[in-house]
Amino acid sequence: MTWFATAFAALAASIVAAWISPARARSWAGGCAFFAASGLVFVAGVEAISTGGATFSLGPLSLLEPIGFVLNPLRGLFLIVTAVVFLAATPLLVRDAAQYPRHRAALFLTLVAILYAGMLAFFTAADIVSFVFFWEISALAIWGLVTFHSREARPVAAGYLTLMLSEAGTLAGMAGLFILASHAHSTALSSIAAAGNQLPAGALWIAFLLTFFGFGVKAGIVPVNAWLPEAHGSAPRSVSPILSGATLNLGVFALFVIDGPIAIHHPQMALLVLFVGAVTALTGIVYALTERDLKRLLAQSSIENLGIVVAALGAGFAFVSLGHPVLGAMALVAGLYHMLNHSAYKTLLFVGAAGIDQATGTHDLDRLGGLMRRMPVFATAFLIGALAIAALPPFNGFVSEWLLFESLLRVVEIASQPVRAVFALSGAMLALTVGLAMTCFVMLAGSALLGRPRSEVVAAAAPAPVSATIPMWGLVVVCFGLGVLATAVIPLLGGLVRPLAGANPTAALVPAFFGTPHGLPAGLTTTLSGIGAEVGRGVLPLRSLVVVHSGGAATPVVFAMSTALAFAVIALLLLSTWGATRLLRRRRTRRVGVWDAGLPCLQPQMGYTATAFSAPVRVLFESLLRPVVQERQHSQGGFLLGLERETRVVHLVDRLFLNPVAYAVKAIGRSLAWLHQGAVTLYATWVLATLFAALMAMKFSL
Amino acid sequence: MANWVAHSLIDGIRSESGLDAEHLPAGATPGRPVSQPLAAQAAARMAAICPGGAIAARGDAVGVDFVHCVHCQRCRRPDGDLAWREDAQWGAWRDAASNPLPHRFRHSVNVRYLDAGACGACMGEVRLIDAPPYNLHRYGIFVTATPRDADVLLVAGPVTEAMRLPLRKTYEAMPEPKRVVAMGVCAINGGVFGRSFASIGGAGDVVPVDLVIAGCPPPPLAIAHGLLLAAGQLQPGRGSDALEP
Repeated sequence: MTWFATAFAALAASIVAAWISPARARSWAGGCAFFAASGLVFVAGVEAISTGGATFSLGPLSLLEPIGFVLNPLRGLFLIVTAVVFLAATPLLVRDAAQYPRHRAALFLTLVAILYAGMLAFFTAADIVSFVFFWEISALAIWGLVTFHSREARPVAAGYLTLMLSEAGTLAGMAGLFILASHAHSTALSSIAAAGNQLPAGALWIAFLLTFFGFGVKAGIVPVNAWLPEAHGSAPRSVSPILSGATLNLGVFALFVIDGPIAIHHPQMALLVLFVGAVTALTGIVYALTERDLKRLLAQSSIENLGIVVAALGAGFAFVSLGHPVLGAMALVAGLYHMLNHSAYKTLLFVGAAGIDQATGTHDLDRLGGLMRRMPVFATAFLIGALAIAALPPFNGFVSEWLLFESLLRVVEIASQPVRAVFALSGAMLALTVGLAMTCFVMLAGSALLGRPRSEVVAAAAPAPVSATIPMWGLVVVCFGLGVLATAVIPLLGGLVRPLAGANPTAALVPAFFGTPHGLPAGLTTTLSGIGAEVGRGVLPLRSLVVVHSGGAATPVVFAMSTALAFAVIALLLLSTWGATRLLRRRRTRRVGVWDAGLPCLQPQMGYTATAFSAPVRVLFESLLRPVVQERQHSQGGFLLGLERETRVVHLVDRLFLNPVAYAVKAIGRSLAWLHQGAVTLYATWVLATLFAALMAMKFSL
Repeated sequence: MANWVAHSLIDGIRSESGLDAEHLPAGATPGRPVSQPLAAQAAARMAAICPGGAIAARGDAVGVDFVHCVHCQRCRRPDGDLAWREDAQWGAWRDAASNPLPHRFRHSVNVRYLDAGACGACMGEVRLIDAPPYNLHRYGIFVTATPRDADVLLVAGPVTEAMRLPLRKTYEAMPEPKRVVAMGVCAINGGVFGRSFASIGGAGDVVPVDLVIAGCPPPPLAIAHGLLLAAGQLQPGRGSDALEP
């Protein structure tokens, strides 16, 4: 607890330092304070997970009512993720802050510190007041950071969109929370969670929908994610890692804490969460493939990843609500695991995008290229991030997506046909999403890192900034560790989801090495031990066998995988083969230039671009994307001088949701225009009439 | 094309069993003039009307140097009556140091065709080597699109100035071991184009040529002979039928 409180002190110190320290030391002082705060929060999170946490309140400080805070293992996990993301982003923040003029730099660091503090407080909120208050603090800080370059048109527009959706979401979520709280007769989140059962169905559905879509704004679920690519695309480059890696978890946390306890009793709600998550994931990745801007592409991919998280949580709620707590806990573990993974590799990629922006001055994929040759250390880390997000082993994305699919397949244990249909449909959408994500990140890595520079500015790129390279390699280690040591992470997450799911999936997912998996008949183990299945038992320390499917008692089927051992074996095989080849075979290597079809020299515009790479996908999804093509001909007399072709894609959500809503609001406004005649007396009349109506309503209702 | 099964059943096998001229219908190769005894006066006349200078009079005989013969047939009709021979062994090593590809390439040779300013006739003939009658796939000879995969560079044309660099780069891009086949008299010595400001006059000035296939253009059988020679599957024919002076 003291660790956690000290972290807030460090953040306060960073704000003070930002405003009073001399110009040269300003950003360094702020950076040191951020480092200290991140370290303290990390320790506090680890302590919460290991000791079980604590409750505390700001009784003496608050005016109205004690504002409660609680630190339990689940919240500890969110704190650790936040701390790691801020830790990775701090060097860039410091570097960028040093480039702003005096007061702007102080304002920038202050906004970041407020966002950090708001998130920390939010993740420990124990009642509605602190929950909504710190949610709102974080939301406003996000708006401030998105719109920080306030002299430019795009950030300001993106900022207003962010603020609008965020505020609408907060209002909706707050209304839902009030409905829940009024029935629970308490403002504490724990009693709201417990009271979810006693509400009438109608009120519960309203509260659920309001909180799900209201707080889902931050998680970027369909249809309230229009702000996300705009905001992440136009935020200052050093803020994007935080926005994507840390603040999106706010929405996941709200879903887990507010909607989870409701949905685990109501299968329809859980299935809605699952389906919305799957749709979010698919639209996210399809639109990511249409993007040419590196940062917008990563933001769309964040939507996809958060969609996968939401779908996994929805599947978990559904399993629990249908009476399969172990399966539910498996899916919830998959969801939390994917959230961890997303934070790790998306922070890595956004830090990389910031580094690319700093070195080359552009983040247009069709202008980048050839960075692998120019900055190999930096680019290798970026490539590993792309591999991890494309869910390739031995990195972390693979583990969580594999767990999710295996747990979705276990829907065969539920007899209800409609539930199976929703699971199958969502699973198919998620599978398509994962395939498209692979395409997308092959495109990203290929067009940014490989080939030749596609523009002169990139050909003259500065060396990669160290402030990006070092955090990226730290995150590479995290990605690799989460991928290989999955069997060590799963028991940890299993303990975190136990309070919600009511079961710990550790025994079913990662039994002791070559032990008897959950649901397997003992006879099978003896049969298998005959052929040496238990050789390593007691010798190898890890829980290394991930058992995911065990059929019925009569036909046990075991799909088993050990990430750590599989990696060790494959690495050994590859290394020994490579070494043997090197030793045994002597080959002469002749190095010649790139094959350029015999042309005098390759021009940048001859390369294969991201737009060309993603063209098949765009053609495939044309009915979904509905691109608007504008053609303009420039001609003089009978001669055609030029042909201009512009393709514009209006996002599905804008087309089907936001634009109709905006149109309806405008129409209502126009129809009420007659109230505004401009005369003061008329307005006084309206005020009087409203007052009268309110008084009459009170009189008759009491 | 859609009912290719029916077509192939009706037509049967079209590939010839061997690539010698005697297995093929008459006219499959134009043939070429051969060295032969001839009256001294007629021989001198033949040498005079030959535009490429392929025919040389040697007393009572004429000698033919194939690498200059452009198949104009003036020595055959209407002016002359020199005997021609239809054969297909047109491929020949450029010099004594040339040798085929190593033995392991015997049944797998990838050929990159490079048009270095040819008139189009050579192209037309090369296209036919994969056609059913010749079907060089069965000997393991494949035409490839990239020099990175190629073992044999098949050059046609007198090498225009614009194609000097691409020819050089293509040769350099090919992995060792590699052989260069100059196809048609243009690629051997410039042919009817000769040397000029626009024409280099033969691939040999740009890349080291190992094997020549004379002719203007050489028929598919002759190209096949040259490629099989490069692959080490055949023995060389006569590069020149010129008589010893």
